[in-house]
Amino acid sequence: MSWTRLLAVFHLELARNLKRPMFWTMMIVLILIVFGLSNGNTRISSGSATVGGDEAWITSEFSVALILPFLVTLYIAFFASIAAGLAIISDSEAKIGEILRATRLRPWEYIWGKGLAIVTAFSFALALTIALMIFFNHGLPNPSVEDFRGPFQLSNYLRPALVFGLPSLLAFLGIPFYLGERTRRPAVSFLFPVGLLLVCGFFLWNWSPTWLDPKIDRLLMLLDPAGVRWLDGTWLKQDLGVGFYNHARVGLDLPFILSRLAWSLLGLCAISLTSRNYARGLRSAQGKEASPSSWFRRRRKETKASSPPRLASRGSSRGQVASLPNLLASMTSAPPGVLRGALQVARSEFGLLLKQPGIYLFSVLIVVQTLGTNLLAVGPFQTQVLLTPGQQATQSLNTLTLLTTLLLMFFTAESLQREKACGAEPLIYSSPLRTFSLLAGKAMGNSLVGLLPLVAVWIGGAIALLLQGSVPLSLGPYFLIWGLLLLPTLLAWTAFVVAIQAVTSSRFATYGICLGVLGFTIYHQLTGNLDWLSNWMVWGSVSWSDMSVLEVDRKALMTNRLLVLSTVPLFLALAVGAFSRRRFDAANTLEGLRPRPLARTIWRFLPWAAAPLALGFALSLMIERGVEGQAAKNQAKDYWKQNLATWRDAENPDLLAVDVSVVLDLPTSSLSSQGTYRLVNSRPEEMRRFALTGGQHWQDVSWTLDGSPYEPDNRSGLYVFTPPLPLAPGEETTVGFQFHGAYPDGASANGGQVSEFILPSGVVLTSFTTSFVPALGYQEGRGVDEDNRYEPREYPDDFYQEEIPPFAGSRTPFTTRVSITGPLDFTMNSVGELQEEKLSEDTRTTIWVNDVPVRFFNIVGGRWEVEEGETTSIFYHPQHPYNVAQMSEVAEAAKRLYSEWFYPYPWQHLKISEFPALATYAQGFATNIPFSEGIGFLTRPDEKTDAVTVVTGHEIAHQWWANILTPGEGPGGNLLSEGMSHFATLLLLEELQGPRGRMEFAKRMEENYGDRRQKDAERPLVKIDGSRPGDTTVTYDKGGWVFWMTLRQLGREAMLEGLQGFIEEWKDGPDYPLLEDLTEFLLPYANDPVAYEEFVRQWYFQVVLPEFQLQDVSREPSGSGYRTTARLHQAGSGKVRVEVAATAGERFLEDGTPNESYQETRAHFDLVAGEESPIDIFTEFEPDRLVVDPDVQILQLRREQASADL
Amino acid sequence: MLTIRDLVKVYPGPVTALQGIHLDIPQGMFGLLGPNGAGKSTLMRILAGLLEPTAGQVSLHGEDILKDPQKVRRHLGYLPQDFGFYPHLSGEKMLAHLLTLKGVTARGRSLRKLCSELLERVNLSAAAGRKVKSYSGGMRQRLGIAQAIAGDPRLIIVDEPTAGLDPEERLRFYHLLAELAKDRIVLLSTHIVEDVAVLCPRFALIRQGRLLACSRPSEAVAEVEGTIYEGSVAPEELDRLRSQHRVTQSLLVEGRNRVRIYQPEGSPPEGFLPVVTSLEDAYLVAMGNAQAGGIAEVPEGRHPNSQTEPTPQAPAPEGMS
Repeated sequence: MSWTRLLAVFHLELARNLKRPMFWTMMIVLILIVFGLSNGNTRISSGSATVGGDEAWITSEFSVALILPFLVTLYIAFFASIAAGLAIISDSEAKIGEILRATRLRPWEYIWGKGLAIVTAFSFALALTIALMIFFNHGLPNPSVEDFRGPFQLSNYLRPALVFGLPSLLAFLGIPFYLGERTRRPAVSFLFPVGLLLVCGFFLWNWSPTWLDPKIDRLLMLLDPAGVRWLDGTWLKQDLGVGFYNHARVGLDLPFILSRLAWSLLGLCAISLTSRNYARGLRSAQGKEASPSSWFRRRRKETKASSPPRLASRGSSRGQVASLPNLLASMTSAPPGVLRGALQVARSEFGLLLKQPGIYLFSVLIVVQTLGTNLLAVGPFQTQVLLTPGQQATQSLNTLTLLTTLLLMFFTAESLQREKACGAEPLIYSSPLRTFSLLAGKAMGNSLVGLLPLVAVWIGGAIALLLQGSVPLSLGPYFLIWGLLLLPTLLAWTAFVVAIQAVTSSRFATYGICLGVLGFTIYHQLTGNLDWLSNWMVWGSVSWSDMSVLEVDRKALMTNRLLVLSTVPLFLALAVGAFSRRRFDAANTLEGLRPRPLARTIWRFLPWAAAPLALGFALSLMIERGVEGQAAKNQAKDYWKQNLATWRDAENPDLLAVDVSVVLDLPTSSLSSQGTYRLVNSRPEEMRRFALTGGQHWQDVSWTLDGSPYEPDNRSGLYVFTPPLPLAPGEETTVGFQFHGAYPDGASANGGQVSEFILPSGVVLTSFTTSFVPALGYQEGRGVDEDNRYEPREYPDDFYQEEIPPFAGSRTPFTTRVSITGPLDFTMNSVGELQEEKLSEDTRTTIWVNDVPVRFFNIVGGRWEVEEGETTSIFYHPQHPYNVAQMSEVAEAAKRLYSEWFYPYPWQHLKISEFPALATYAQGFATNIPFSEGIGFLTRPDEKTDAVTVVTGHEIAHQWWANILTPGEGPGGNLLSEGMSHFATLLLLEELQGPRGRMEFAKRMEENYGDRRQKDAERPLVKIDGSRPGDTTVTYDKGGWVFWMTLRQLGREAMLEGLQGFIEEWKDGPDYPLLEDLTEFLLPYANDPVAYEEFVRQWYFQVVLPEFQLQDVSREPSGSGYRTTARLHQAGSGKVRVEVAATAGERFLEDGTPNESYQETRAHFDLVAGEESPIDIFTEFEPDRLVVDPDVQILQLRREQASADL
Repeated sequence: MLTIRDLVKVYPGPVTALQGIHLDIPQGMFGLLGPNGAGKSTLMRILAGLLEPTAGQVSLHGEDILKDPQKVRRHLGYLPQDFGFYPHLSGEKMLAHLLTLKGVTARGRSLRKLCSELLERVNLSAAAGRKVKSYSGGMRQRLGIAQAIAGDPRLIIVDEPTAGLDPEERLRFYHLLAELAKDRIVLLSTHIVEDVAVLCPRFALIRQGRLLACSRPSEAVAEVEGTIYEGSVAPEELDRLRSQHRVTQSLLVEGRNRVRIYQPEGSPPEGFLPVVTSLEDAYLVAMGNAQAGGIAEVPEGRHPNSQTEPTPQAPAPEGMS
């Protein structure tokens, strides 16, 4: 052993790594990324959203521990794997192995010298990353992020680096180092980081459904090489408060420490294994030479090979083999054509790829990952979804794009390097094969690598579809999505990689630049800065709908794809021009960089750039003129500037009746609308003027006032009407309107969801926006963006006592008459009852009339089939019949039960209409509920929760809790809509499926709330206005839970009676209720008003969340039975009475019915926060489990720790 | 005719590898002789279209091959000094691949058959199915030869072709080259003087990127005829001898140095006798002259003219026709 020799290898390898352009490209991009992160874009989701409130620091140990593993695993790992995987291979290609072996250098000195040098180089990179973080977070002045910066503590950076960064780095270096030496195939070591990305990025870090077994979750945490899953699951998932995250250390548990040590050791062991393997390889090679038998075999072969030539002129061969002159004379050579040459090169490359074992392993990995992702995908309310081929193809697009671009980069660069590496360069490059054929052939051959993930994902998806057993497999969507969207990306990317490799002539420079481009693109996508022009991967821009295939933004999407495709010839031309088949002369190259020759070169390439430039220009115009373009933004901003001060709080008349006729022109996504609003001044004062807001897409707008043409003052889209005489209190007036326009009016900036639209396949328009009718008064959201967004409003405690407007729609309910004209084969639904349907040769006009007033209305159209129930109809896409029968049953039951429980349904027929999944929502308009195709129709019931009932029950509940009873616009208002609908769903589940159905959904709501709440930002229910992070889960999940606990507090009959009274009292306005109105209204229904008020104070006016922990649990025989003892600790907040049960057996059978053999004995405990109580339960049977809150009646945190096996 | 005019190649550094080479290479075998680092391989790589020169012109049968390297690639058979093959392919498949890239076809023969016959020519039939990575150096060289001669190329460039070949194969290869040179240009680059002496009717001497001489081997030998003496001296006398005479060769044999000196004028030292001169003597004298007096341009009139001489018959190995 010689440390001197080891150090000599170490120094050489370290210098080589630190001098590589790839290393410094990595560092340059890292600087950009770390700088970007220092702006506070990526922070722990915790803290207050108010000005001056506590913010999560980017400098805390938790924050660094969150960011560092991402940087190491998703970025540095790629460079590390390349450097480590190629370390031995590069020496082998340089043919210095034999010379080294001839020295006294020992294998382990060589391997460890190299291994340690690479570890040192990348540890240096990690240290530089830390130094950069410290500099940008603390050294660089940046007033805009002062709130996110805490005091500097070196340990906040060092501990995460040691605990998260270094072990991962060791593993990510050691494993590819071993793989590279073992296989001597660069591709294998490249596949490692891609596989890592696949497993970590797309599975370990984000797949965590609420129903996952905690033991499996725990195992996955320890298997995560980056530690992200552990950090998230242990510390971040359930918000522990910004104060905690800003100041506390990341507490490590023993299994996690062991896991980190194991990953570190794995890296070092991999280097050790490499050393052993390398030494064994040498011994084996020497052994072969020394072995007499093998020597004999070799010699015999050599002898055979060296036997005298049998020329045609000699011996027995004569006549069979031509003489050399004849042979040569018989040969002709004509340079192969472009295509033939390319195909020959492609065939050779293809053959090599087929011999890569890593490819097959990788394929299996992709299949498994796809299978898992598809089978475990979750949709609304954490329900499992039924995937269709189109959804599967689209949802896998981002993953596929990333995987294939990475693989293509590695394989293409290595392929172009191959001739140089194996020495065939002079033979191949001096052949008459055209350079284009050579490059194109390699690109074609390597396209197998691009094809491989596609096939693997398709197989995974096909298996998932078969296992789902509902949706048939079809190939069309895969061809469409992958062929149309993915293929141009892959072609352009391959051409780009070829061009870069041709220009740089270095695989390492190519990796550096290409990974830099990928990293930069992904960073910009994640920070929302890409548009159709720059989003060359169409990442996150495309939504799939079985009903509407790529209809939205089709023009922009196609132009984007053409633009990307048009770069292929440009990159190939660059590649052919720059490819150093004939090594360039440095002097001539410098000469070529002088202005005149350079201009000539640029001129030569200009024709190739013409198409990309033209398409890029067209696309930028499209974006500029689109719905999110600057012109539209300016128009909206003008509306805000001009009207905010004057019209935001101005009084407006109320609607009494709407009469509107809409003619749809689906191919052009446009409509013409004509109608009247009958308005009344409900104020006690005269109204001199009033305003209506028009849409930005409106063209040729004309108005009437009381039947006469009228020209209102157009204030950037706010139309101000000043009647000749002020409107007296109670006086009515009629405004007429007429316009036409397209909706959506132009392209979006970068795709994404569209909530209202007119498309050939379907129509969704609502009165919430100005898509087809004017809106009353000033619209608050228009023209508001990051620059002028105001802080969430602070409401006084007695706000609810004021007269509160409705949270949506008109202050007074109004009647509607909606006439819709569309294609003959279209069904068009609106609120109310069908009055008339008129058919012409090619159009259908449907008239909907509503005599029972509503506050908002809509139009939904499509080509559907119908499932008719007694009082309900389900309009569904013919390809989505899976859940329709059950949805119909649930709809009938819900309508009947809610009518009994809450209020008689005032309308007659209820329609549920499926619309294309261009947005994921359902909206409970009176009698006419639009369901996105993903909701309900493509829901898959899981083991415990009947998702179809949940989704349908919730949306139908909105007929009562949004329509019949419209909440007020203010804090706590939306809980009366969404929270009440969740509560109604709990009631419905218990009614239809028994206690287990309700309990399982309640647990799911509870887990969702525990995972998504933001402790510091959370406010009492009566203050929830949707403006703060975490408000959504409080509104839905906690709201539903607290209403359920209120029912338990009051008793079921009293609660339902109270709710019926509440609806009756508040349904007609003009004052609309907030949460305090409900709690006050229910007081008289309480048997124990004091206890009720205490309950309300705690659950509605405070933020409390109990957490129960069982400790020292034991069971022992006692007399004729058993005594179960434990200590029950209330580690959360609030004062609650909770039951504890010692149980034996399963409570429910598989089908949810009660298990007759189940036994239990209960006791109850009153506990305040921090209190502990001994448990001592005697049972006559032998219990096997101790369960806190066995009936799932108390909302609590971490329910899993509130039960114990005995 | 391959015509080279004022060819200059400067590598970054700068290192001038070729300093204005001016050469006409007629049909037949032409040797390029020079020590290591003389610029032979640089010249070969430029001619094969693998390296862009800094300046100069090269034309093959009147066509400018620097402007359009594709023109030379169509007619080229190239065996570089250092080369390899795709290690995952068998010898036969590798050859078939290269032949396809060159567009080589043969009347009445499939590509497979053609490869098989070529491999038989270079005595690799038995190893045709083996992966190239398992080939010995000699076998690789022979496979290289097979691809170089395939397609009836008009210009064959072979750079140090006999490296790695055993004597028997070397002779066989000489024979092959001699046969090929009958109706095409064969440019042989080597630092083995004997190869040139045996094979090439004309050759050029190159050193430090400059052409020192261009003549027939017989002319070169005739120039030093009678000026080379050989004798034996004790090792301790060698330095004294060097100071007084041009020592061209010195070899320690049985404790004494057998020495050759170049003595164009005057008497040789005592005990030194005139010897029959070889091309190696002429080469060493020319190199010594260049070293002593700086690089001299090739004298006017030494440029080879278009007149060609019959290719000498290569010494055939025992039993070869």
